Amino acid sequence: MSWLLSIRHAVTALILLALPLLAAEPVVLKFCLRSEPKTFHPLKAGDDASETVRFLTAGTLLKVNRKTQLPEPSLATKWKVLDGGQVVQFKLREGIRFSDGTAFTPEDVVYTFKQVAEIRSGFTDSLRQGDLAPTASVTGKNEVTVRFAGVTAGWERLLDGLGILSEKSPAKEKAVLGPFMVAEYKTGQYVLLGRNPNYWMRDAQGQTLPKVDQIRLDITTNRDLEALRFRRGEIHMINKVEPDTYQTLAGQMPGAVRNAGVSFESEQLWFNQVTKSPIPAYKLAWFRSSGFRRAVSESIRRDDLARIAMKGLAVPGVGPVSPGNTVWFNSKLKPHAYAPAVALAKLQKEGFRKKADGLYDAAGNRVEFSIITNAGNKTRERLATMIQADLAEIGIRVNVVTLDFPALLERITRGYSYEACLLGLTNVDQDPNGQMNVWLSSAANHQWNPSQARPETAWEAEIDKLMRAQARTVVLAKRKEMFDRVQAIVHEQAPFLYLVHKNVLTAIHPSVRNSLVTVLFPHVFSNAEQIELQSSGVYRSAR
Amino acid sequence: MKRLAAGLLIALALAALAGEFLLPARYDQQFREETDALPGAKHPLGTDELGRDRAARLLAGARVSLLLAPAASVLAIALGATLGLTAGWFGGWWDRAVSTVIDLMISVPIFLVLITVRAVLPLNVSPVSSVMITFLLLGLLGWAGSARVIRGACQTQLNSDYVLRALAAGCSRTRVLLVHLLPNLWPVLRTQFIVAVPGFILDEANLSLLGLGVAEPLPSLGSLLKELTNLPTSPNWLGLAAPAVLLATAVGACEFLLPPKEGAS
Amino acid sequence: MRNVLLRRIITSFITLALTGFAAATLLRVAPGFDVDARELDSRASAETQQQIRAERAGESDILAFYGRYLRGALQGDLGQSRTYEVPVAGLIGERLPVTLRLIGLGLTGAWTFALALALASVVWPAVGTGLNLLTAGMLAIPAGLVALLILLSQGPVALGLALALFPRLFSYARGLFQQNADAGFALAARTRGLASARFLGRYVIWPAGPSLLAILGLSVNGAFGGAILLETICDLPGVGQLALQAALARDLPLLVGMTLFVGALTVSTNALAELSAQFILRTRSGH
Repeated sequence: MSWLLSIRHAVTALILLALPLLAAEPVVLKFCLRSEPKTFHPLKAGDDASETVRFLTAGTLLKVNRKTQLPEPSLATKWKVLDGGQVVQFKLREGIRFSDGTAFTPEDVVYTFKQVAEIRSGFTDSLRQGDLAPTASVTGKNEVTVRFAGVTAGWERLLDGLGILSEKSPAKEKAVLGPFMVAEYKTGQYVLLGRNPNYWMRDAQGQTLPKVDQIRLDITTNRDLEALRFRRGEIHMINKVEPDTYQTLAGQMPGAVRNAGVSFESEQLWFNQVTKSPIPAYKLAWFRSSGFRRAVSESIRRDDLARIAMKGLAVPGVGPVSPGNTVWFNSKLKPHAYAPAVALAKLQKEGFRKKADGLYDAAGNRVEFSIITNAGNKTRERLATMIQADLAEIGIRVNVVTLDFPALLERITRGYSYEACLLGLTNVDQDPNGQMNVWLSSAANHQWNPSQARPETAWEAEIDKLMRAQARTVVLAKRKEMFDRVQAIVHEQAPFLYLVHKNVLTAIHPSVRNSLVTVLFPHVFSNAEQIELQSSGVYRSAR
Repeated sequence: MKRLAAGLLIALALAALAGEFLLPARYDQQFREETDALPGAKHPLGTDELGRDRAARLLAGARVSLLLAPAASVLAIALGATLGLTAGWFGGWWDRAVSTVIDLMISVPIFLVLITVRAVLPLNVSPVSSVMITFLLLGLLGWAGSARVIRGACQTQLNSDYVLRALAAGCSRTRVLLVHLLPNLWPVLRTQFIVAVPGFILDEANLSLLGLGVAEPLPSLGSLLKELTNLPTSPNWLGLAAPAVLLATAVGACEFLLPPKEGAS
Repeated sequence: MRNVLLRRIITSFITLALTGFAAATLLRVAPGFDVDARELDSRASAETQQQIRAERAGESDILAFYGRYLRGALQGDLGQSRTYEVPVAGLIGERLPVTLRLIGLGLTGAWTFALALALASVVWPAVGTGLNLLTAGMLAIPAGLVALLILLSQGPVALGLALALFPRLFSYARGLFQQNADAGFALAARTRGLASARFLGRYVIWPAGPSLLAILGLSVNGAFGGAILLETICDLPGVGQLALQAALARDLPLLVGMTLFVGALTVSTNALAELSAQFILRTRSGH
């Protein structure tokens, strides 16, 4: 008997020893964040890294399908629009729990809207009308009614970003309803997301989601390193690949890179038109003349910019809306054509004279200006250098100055001590309302001449009027008509010289299954809960 | 060996000065149909990503950097030598003050000084002035290391037999300083010069991150050397490595030409 | 002797306090001190913009800031990093081992090679010529390339640091050794037939001590500079990476903390170097 007992013990011991070996190693999806996430609070997220974490962790009332661009039910199973678009009634999903086990109730939605009113961030501002935030109230069993301060066009897209908070959970905003939750955060190194054990969604076969156990987001500012780690198989995806890297990767791992076509983003150049800026009055006069701006624009070979500076992975810039944004793009507009003769004629009409050694204005000042851009961005440096060469041909002398980002920001937002600036717009919202504070002449992000007490030009006044009107219109066709006009004005007046619209370039390791590449952010993980990794053995061999 | 070194250096100087006449292309001309070209008959070192002739850029860059970097080095070493020598020689409070300033210069992030200087400078600076200002700054800010080393060397010499003997023999302190001490510091100064020139050339390129340094379209040896980091992915290794070879040749030639001790030349 | 030591310590503390203050002041006057990338958020309204700007107001009076900071620092509190929103002391403490190990290994490697090869080139002039050419080549290569090659080959980062530091150290050491070897009394010693190892030790290496020590102090700073670059390129989570981030993000508490760390490193290595140098000088004037 005793020896039998000992055998039993031995078997138990063996099984216990073997258990950790049998238990599957967690399946970890890995990719990089390019900056430190500023916050894990879903309502405060504004930077890329925080938005990524928010997207993967927060639960929202509805979700805009990144492929079809249509809203789909999420925490709300259905909704009804009332009062001409000012009020929306939501029916909520039942029996859901937050990641920490707290039950999800309609009061949580009401609480979330209260927080929207209290917290000041770019995101909460996008829900406001004027200075008024939307409110919510419980109006029935599992029913919440949201009242916007005015008719809010594109509210579906806005609520797609509204992470629902728990009112009662002791974990506060750390209790989430999305597929993942923040498990560990090491400053400057990584954010580890774990599976939300209470995630409500099931896949088509009724299996629990998400499919991977963890997502490891390594924080690295070094993009070459990111590409190298991708090649080595240490990370699975790159959400946004630089043109240079794309070219290299395409040569080495042709199956892994994806070009999803024209993005919503653009690279643009603008002249400082701020009246109180410290630049010489005669230069300000050039920059405020639309003839001068158009002439400069028409002296730039945009095809070359797209082909050389962007390695052929971009299209010539048209206007505020990229041709990639098929819903809102004004298809009547074409990029400003390269026409130096026309440009010179325009300049001559304004009193400029071309002499042997360069271009002079009517008062005899040599036409020379500086372009500032942020240092370390190879594509922008190339764009600026090419523009410099193009403009030299019509006699304009350009000095390119690269500045570190805070120094650049100070110049364009504080002292306005700069002449022209080359920057890009990233993470552009598909809906024009996302650019409200760029187009309103009173806004701080009206880069060429911010925070005007009243519009200084007639065309800016018209844009103000159109932007405000479209935001209060529900019918898409009518909004489009108004925003088409805004695009036409910008095209005509050229406060921004749009240079190129970049392509959406991503990279996905062959071991990743089910990933969906979309033009809308996030480009490679919009269906993160569905993403699978091929057996880790294969993955390891790729390392 | 020495003759070879001198020959190389002279050839280099001539090529840098006459570069524009030797090559068909200007350094800023963008051959937009021939970007990233490999070395060939038209472009001996190929072209860069904007289609500019690498050979023309190399010669122009060499002219800028090999002229200005030695000047900046001499400035930095002169400043460092003056402070280091006087600190080592006089000792006392002056030595403590100089030492404190040296420690400060070494520990404080000079980066911040440079971006502040950039903020004060006008934006419309020609590329040549920009690079001159940068080397001037490097010279003015780069003396602390020299000063510390020279101060150390000076203290050693002060304790050496010949200085003690000279002082005992009634030589004036100034005379000892100038006639006996200074020449004995030559090896240290020489090393500093040889180390500082390539150091400043590379530093200048890094300052382009702050809006200082050479500005487009003018190249500098440093900005060309920075492209070396593309070496692992570029097929044009010759075009990328040429600036490093040129700089190494110049530094190596200096090693041979500068006499290892005073009076030996 | 006690007096000298005491004075040395006091001077060191004054230098350190000055260093911190200089860094804080420089950051304050540097452009972009009070800007925030969130201001570019095209959705943010004027009110939100103002609120973002107000967050930095507490740091704009630099004297008040530094007073508060020093008071906190004396109690071991280095403030809260603005970028990472965690205590600076913890952040530096967590990452310090990585950098210290890197610097330690890098310096040891670089000095070992530099001294050994410098001696070899004094003994065998032909070797010296070859090494001169090699160092000339190494001086012409940007440290960024060295870092990249280390990264690509997955080699040890400390080797990269050693390679980056080596050429300068070698040049100095060789210069000093050569000078000593050529000096009259050394030649005399050699002609008198002093055994070569003893000759090298007594006439070539020992007299170069004080100068080499001054360079050693400098090389510690050089190594920290190299660590910034290598940690950034190779993504090593040390304090070097942190220092760069602090400067780029205008993170005042973090930058002052980092500067105090570098300052302490500088002051202590220099103090150590100088005391050793005095020891060497004393023993020599004794014989």
